[in-house]
Amino acid sequence: MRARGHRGVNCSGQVMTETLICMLVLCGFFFGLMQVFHIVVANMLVDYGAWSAARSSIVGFDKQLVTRSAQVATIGASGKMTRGGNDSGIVDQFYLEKSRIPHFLSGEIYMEYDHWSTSGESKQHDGSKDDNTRLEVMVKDSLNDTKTVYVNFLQYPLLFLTGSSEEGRRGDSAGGSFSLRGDWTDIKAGVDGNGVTLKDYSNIYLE
Amino acid sequence: MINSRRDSGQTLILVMFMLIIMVIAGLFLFDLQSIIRGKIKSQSAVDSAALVGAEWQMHTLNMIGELNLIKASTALMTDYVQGSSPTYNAETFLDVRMADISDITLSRDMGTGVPKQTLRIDKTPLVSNNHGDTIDGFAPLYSESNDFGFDNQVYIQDSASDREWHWNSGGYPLLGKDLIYSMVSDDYDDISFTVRRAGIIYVIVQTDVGHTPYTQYADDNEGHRLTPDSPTLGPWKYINGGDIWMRYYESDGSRVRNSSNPDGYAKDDGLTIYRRYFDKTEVGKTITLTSNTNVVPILVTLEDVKKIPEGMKDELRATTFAADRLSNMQARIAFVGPLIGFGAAQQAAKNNGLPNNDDYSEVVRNQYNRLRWGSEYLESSGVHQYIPYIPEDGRVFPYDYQNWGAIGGDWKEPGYAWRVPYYKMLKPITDSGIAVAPNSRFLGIPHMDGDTWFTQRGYATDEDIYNAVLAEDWCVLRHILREDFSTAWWGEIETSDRVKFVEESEYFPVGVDFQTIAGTEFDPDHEDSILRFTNGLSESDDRGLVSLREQYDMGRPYNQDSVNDDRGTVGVYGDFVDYNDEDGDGKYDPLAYIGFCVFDKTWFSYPQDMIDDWRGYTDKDFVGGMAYWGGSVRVKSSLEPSMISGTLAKSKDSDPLNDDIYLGKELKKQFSDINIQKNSNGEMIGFDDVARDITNSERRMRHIQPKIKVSAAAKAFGRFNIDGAIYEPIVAGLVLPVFTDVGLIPVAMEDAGGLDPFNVDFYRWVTEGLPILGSYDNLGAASTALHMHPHWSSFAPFFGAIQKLNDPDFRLRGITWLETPTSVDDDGVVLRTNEDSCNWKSGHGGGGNPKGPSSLH
Repeated sequence: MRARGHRGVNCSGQVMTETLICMLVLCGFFFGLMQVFHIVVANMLVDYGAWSAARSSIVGFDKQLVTRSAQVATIGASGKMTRGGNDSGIVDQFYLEKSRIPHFLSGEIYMEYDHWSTSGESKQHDGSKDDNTRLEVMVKDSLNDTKTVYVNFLQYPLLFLTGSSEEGRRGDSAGGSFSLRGDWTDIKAGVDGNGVTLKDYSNIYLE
Repeated sequence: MINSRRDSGQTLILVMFMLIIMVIAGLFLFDLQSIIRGKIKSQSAVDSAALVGAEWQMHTLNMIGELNLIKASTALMTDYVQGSSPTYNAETFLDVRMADISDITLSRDMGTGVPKQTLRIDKTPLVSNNHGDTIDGFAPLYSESNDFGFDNQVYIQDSASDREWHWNSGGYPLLGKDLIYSMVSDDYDDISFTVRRAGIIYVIVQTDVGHTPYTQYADDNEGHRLTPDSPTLGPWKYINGGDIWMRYYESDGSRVRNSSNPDGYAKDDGLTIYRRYFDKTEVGKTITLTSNTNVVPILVTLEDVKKIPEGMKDELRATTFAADRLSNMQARIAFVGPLIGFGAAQQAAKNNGLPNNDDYSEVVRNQYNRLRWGSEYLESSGVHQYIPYIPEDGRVFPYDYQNWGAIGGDWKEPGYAWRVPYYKMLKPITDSGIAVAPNSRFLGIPHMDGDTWFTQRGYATDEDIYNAVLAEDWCVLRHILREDFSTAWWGEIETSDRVKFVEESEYFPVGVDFQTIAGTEFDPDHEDSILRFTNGLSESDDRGLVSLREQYDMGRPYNQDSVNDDRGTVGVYGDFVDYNDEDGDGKYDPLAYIGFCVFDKTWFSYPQDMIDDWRGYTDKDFVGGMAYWGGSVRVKSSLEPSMISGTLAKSKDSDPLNDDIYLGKELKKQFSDINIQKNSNGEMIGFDDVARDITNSERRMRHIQPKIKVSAAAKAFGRFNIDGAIYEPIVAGLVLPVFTDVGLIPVAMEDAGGLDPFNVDFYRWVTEGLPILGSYDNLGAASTALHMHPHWSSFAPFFGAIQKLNDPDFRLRGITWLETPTSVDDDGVVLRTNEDSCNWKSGHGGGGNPKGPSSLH
């Protein structure tokens, strides 16, 4: 009995250890997957943002309005609503955004999200962490009456991977759709970060 | 072992838990991708549809314009009779009118009795070039390389006359560049404009250039008048009518892919599809591949050209008749062209992956049924059955129009009997299904009348207000919340039909009208006169041109009242001419009685404030001559993406009045007496408030529309180049074939607003729901009546918003939020409130300047 009990204790400890190891592995796997999901979502939305911005650009809108178009398209990956919201639930925020986006696009009201900084300045929220994430929007006239729009999330935070090296924080991007650099990454629209190119129609009626 | 199994079970549970979360995350990714791709696909489809629609706007306008030019040529050919000098009227017309509206050097050569020989000789007449140089029976009339040049004029020489008659079919490289071909017969009597679109559609506008068999008298070359003794001239030439052939090649329906079918779309990245459209070659292939079988003739209107009979008494009458025939053709084009664009837009959208939309199809089908079977479009409802409509008393000159039929044939040209061909053209499009909604001007779009602020300030018909109520967007509602809600604030709401029949296609209407100087003397000061623009152009004076009224005596050389009177006067070709001694110049009206197709009131130059606004939006100026409103099309689509989670948030039984289906309301019933939380003042409040919030969230969740709604606008562009100066096409007044480009424009640029029948739910609410609401003075009774209506499902979200707005607690919450201080100084004085944040003007990340439209595509 004792031996069995002893075996049982040993066995239990072994199982706990195994379970702990499994859980660590599983959790690592799980959070890794969540991180991948998080990045993939951001990547998809950045692609869409670039396309949306390009669509705005080819009908002649000013760079700032093109940027606004990209911002709205990437709301889903832009983090917390820091201005213009009312601290309500998801459904309330959805409706609020649905109602406010047209007014935001027209410049009547102001909205801001964590990652919408376009000027590169550092800001803080929740008093906990520097957020240097920037949404970069560039418009370039291309050959053959086309326009190419680049939309990039620079220093996009990795929510589940933190505390990496300083050089990672310096983060010289190596190109590609996104590149992991410590606790943040750059996410760029288009294949190899080449943005989205569309035919420009505005040159028919705008100088 | 037992413990081990138990612990393993915990791990298993954990693994299962993680797997479930991962599956949910995967589904979320799938849904997100579906939405994004659906959005790009939809935008690609509506962009292509808009461009195709605008292209047919361009073709339509150019064809109408070409016929206007033919009319002008025809009128000028009668100059010998109308005027006392062989080219006097023509010169006057050209100098004063065409010189101002067209390229002056070009127009001088058009239709005059004495053409500019050097121009004709120096340039290459395409008549000869075209022979033997045909493509599938057609040879190109215009080439793209000669914008506004002379190289592309077509000259027709009347071999029967010793005079060289030169008829210019237009002179501009106009009708769609390489899509346009011309077929000129050997005797140069016939000319065709053909718009070809490979594999799908082509249009032929065929005119017949005829010869009069009789002899006319010339002027005396000195006295500026005609006399019975004047020498005779040779046969003269005119345009005596024409035919329009149009065929619509319907695509193979099996190739239309449904977005819910992965095989049809999954292999195509949305961006690829979008880019593919803009490669026109690919578009051409796509369209070509849709099959050239299943040919459905939309319209084959072939009336044999009626020969002007022997013994015609007055060429002016024939001129007018010929012009009427051409007006008839223009009216047909104003129906057929946009309808082809409508059908082609559907095809383009389907080829880009959009499926048919049941709601849109129903709207078009209903309109077709009204047109086909209803009474709204009949004469009894005041709708003209012949277009252009010519009043009974509209033709008193030169002879009694009513008696024309008795003079030698059926001379009465009542106009185009549009209704039957219109619905016949519409039917194959309707039967094929509607994927994208066009801009439209349906007969009978109602106007909303009411007696309270709710209707009078436009809130009742503003969908944004309803959305703001559902969103509890206090900033948008800040003015409404302080209105008077003491009584039945929605008032008595009535609707009345407002929009008249546009007398052209109601889908993608091009916005044209017909103006005929009828029933009165030509009055150059008349503001509706076809020549009105000649008075306003200072350039005329700059070039030494003289207005018609300065050169033209309003008196007539012959007294038309004496025609066919007791003295037997028969006019200029008869034995007796009753010359009017009071006429000082021997001239008739310079343009006879020709109706021209003109731009209607939907065309105008952009107002300066609009130009200023768009200068801010784009940071650029408009290209010269392009800042005009008109020639645009708008399309939109509504697509329900294939979402897994979407079905979780949507209920087919979405019914805001059914208490039983809301968890919040059920909780309220059970726990209304329980105080469960503190409010902002620290007071305990009951479960009612929580239940209400839950119910509101549920209601809104159920009305989250997982539909992808996109829109696009495109436009036909053109302009005049007159002596190096650029003018908008509308400066001409009449439609001229100057449209050369098609491009996407911002949807907000030329959106006239108003009720859109294709915004189905809201349109039903405004046209059917609001009048019901307006007949009750309390919402309880109204809700019962609305609930009984077959379109209750369309009414539900909007009536839910009305109920919510009627709730004093809701309004109080909004006002409280608006008035809540956000900044207070040391003395307790409120510096800012939430309401001040509604007008945030600056800051990074958006908002503030530059201002923009509410949609940026």
